[in-house]
Amino acid sequence: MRRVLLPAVKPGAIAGCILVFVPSMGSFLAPDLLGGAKNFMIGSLIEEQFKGNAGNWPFGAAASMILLTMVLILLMLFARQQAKAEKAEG
Amino acid sequence: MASKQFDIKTYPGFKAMTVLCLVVIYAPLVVVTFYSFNASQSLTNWEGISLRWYADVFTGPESSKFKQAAKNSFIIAIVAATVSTTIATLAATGMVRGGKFKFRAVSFGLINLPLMVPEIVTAVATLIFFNSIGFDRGIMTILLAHIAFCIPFAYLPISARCTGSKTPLSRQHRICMQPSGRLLPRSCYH
Repeated sequence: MRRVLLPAVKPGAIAGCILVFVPSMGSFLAPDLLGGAKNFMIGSLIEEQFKGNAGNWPFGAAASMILLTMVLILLMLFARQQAKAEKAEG
Repeated sequence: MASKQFDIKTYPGFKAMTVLCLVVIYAPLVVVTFYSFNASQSLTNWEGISLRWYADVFTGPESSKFKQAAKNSFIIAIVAATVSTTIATLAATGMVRGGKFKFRAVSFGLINLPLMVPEIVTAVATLIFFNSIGFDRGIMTILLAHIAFCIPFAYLPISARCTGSKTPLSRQHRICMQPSGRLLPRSCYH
């Protein structure tokens, strides 16, 4: 398992993790419906700032930029690692 | 029987895992289907089978809202699909046929950015942009945002197809495409 299966699926598993991680970071509808009032996620926090009159647009914009930065840093790490792996393979 | 040894169905826990996944994914759908036929208004009381809520959607007090919403959804879906597929096809043709040009990696990244950026960030960015240029929110803004958001979803499969059939396509292209850009009759394809 550790010698054969995991190395074989590693690139796919990483890509799959990224594909799930990014939308999960940003999702707002499902946590809104399922999380109740106490369990906030960044997505719903941002959404709330732009809905109705109570929200604070600049705050929402800043929050979404922070979220964007986090995701982009992660994607850059992923891209760099992939480039390294490709070089190692030749 | 060597092949039987590698049959995935004989792995330990295969059945339990399958059942667990199916239940987690489909049990909620079954429950929703079930309750849409409930005669009572509450989710917890079961008062017998009825098509009351289905009739309500089409003829009840909320039906005009439903019709308007369905119309909007259809318009947006059809227009967004058409326009973004067109743009994505152009982009894929350019990326696949363009060879090695400057900023190739950058273009690829830019085309696929809406896929990488969380949905809510795209939404917020588009909203603030439209707001700052004084564009009223309405079906047009939904449409524009949707087209922008959907381009990578159309682009990825199209470019995968183009890359996969690169050689035959360009050969066909050379043989069948006249300088005017029109295709020769179908009989010339093979």
